[in-house]
Amino acid sequence: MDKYNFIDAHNRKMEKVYDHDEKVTKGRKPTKELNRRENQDKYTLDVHIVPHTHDDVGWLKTVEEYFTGAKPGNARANVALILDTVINELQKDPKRTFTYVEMKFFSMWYNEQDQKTKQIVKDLIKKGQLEITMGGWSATDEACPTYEDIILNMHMGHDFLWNEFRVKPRIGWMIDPFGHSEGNAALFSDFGFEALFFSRMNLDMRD
Amino acid sequence: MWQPFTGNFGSQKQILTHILHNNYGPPPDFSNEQNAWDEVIPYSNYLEYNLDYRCVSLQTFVNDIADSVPNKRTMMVLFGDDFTFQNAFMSYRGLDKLIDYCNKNQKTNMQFKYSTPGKYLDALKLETGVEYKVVKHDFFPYYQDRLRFWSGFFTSRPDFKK
Repeated sequence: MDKYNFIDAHNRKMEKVYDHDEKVTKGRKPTKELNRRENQDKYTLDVHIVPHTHDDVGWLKTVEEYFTGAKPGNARANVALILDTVINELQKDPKRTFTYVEMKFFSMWYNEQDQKTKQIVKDLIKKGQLEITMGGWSATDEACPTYEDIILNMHMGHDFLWNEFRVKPRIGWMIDPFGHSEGNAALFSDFGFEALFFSRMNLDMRD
Repeated sequence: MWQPFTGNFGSQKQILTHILHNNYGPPPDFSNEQNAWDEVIPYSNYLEYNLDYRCVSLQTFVNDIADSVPNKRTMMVLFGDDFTFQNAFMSYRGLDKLIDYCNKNQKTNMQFKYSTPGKYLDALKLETGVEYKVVKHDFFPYYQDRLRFWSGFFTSRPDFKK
């Protein structure tokens, strides 16, 4: 029995190697042709590259485990590492930008930093390199919570942001909830968000 | 443009709504494994060189979705996913190379740059005469395909969810 398991595992491993090889050879010669778009040559398409990360405030492991990177067997995730390295890299090139959302993790990390790093973060936010989008304590679901929960969640995050940085997020960023309610959109409009970005949507409803 | 509760509020609570492409991840060719844009290898003398391929796949993605953007000029491409940028050194090095190379090797008129949702929104606001489709309904229930509905949370054990 063990022997077969071993062969299986070996085959799976080889498949992976093979896939990788194919990608590499594909990499040598791009085969794709670009479709011609209407008015393609008349104007330039402005493409905004947005580096971001989506950090679930508790999912496969607890918030603390996610933050510290403990239990890598459950999920290889370390939020403190993300913020450490990103803040480091942003300083190297003023062109680089980053978008962060979950204030629970951000405040956990920020409160651990020394004054110098805090000042660096403040400067990065001021310069617009680091943007806090939505800024809720976490991203709420839109089906289950009551109005009160959603407001409280947003209030805690915005309170932290206002006290520390004097900024107010402009954009609602609901990229992971499964379905989107009118109630939430109305609330976001009342929060003063200028726009709402979301991603999960039925294929039938997409254009 | 989403106008929730039109019956009660008309357009009073309307909010500009943007639906992201390819879930919230990077373009499809970059989402095969986590942080595929980390693996941009810019050395053309070596077999592993893939910058050209990566660049073409990015341009193809932009090209494919360009027509679904209302103004057809400004668009946003996300690079990031669940718990990405744990090694921001690699991620930014890859993105730097990709953006540089794509801007130098233009097959179509595209200009790539680092941005944030806020900057993208500002760019959208500068565009005039763009008509946004008005939506007056919610987006429930959500399903990924015919057999995978995310609707259980309405019905199961409602008492636990107060």
